[in-house]
Amino acid sequence: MTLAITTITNSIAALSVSGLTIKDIDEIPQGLSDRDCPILTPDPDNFITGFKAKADSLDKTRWTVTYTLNYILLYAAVGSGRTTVMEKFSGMVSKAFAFIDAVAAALTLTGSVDWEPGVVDKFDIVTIGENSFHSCHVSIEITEFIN
Amino acid sequence: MSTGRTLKRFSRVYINGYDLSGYTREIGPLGWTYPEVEQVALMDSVKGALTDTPEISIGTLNGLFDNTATSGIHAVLSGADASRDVLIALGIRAAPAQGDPAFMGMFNQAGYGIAPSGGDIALTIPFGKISPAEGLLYEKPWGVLLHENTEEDDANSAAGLDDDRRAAETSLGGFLMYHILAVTGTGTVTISIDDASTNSGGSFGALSGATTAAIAHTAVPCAGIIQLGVTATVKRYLRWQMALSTITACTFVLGFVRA
Repeated sequence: MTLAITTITNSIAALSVSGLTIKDIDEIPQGLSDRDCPILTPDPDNFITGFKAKADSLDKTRWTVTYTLNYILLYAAVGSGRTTVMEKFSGMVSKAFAFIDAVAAALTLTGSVDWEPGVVDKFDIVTIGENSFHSCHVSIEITEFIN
Repeated sequence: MSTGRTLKRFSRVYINGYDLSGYTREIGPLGWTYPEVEQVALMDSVKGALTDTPEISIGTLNGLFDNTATSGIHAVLSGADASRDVLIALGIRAAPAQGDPAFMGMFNQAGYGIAPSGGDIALTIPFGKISPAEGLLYEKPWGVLLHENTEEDDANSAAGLDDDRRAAETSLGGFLMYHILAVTGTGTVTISIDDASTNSGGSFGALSGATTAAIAHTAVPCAGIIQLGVTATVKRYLRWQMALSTITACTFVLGFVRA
């Protein structure tokens, strides 16, 4: 077994969450409009954190590697609702938790040997191009084996 | 079937025809130990072990209290001091599949304890040891999974597997353990094992004695051990087999230990 980060991000992109587009690391959008949302994309500023490799055998041929993959959920353009500016906030929280549900329920996540939902945090309004979006961060804890 | 290392999340625990994996945090150690002799003579150069009388144990099941009716762990195991048919399958980086290692036997449940654990209500269920002297003809608990926890609706005509990767048949018998988790419809189901010298679908025939006989739908869920004679010949390749009578589908787990 060798590290398989691209296989893992591909598996995450293939998770099924109703109404949510999940992007792979080679699909990070350059620009975004409200029509593209909701979208979950790798966080290019902070995609992998907490990387740790631990040798499992005396000869160091077998390792356990753990790290966190961080994603940004861009739910909707601010003010895109019909009533209040924060109308979309509630839907974003629900969508973030729907993604966590999908991670927890996954029977396999090809490329990894273990995976767990990470955190949901950093609720914010981010600006991409000329548009501002309701956003939050979600993460997944990954474990891989080398041999 | 894969090979290599794995994690405990891919283990599955079947007890008395129920899949208790969803209530189990961990189970073990899965022990198979030959005790040392107590008396050693002055002229003995080393302290020996008692061959043929191993202690076999599944240790303690640590789980989550859940009182789901009928199939919840409280419903299944809250009566202690009982013999349980236990099969623990170790999936290799995925849910257990045909050919994966399985530890199986009859074990006495020695208790049922509940205690707060953080925010949870935790279960601690110790199991006693078994030995061949307690009814099992065989001193070996490790075998393979011949059928993983899935539903079947027809007999098996596929090829099988080489369970211990030997080049030849064996003549020391073995035993099977079955767990029938659910059936669809009414009638009977018979679970059995076929063996063959060549691993092709048409080469298989019934392994003599390796059958549950007909089990009525009213008895499901159920589990049990069927032991072959200790000199029974078992050909190199094995596969699961099933016969349905008016029942239309059966979900079961089947393991086999080749002696």
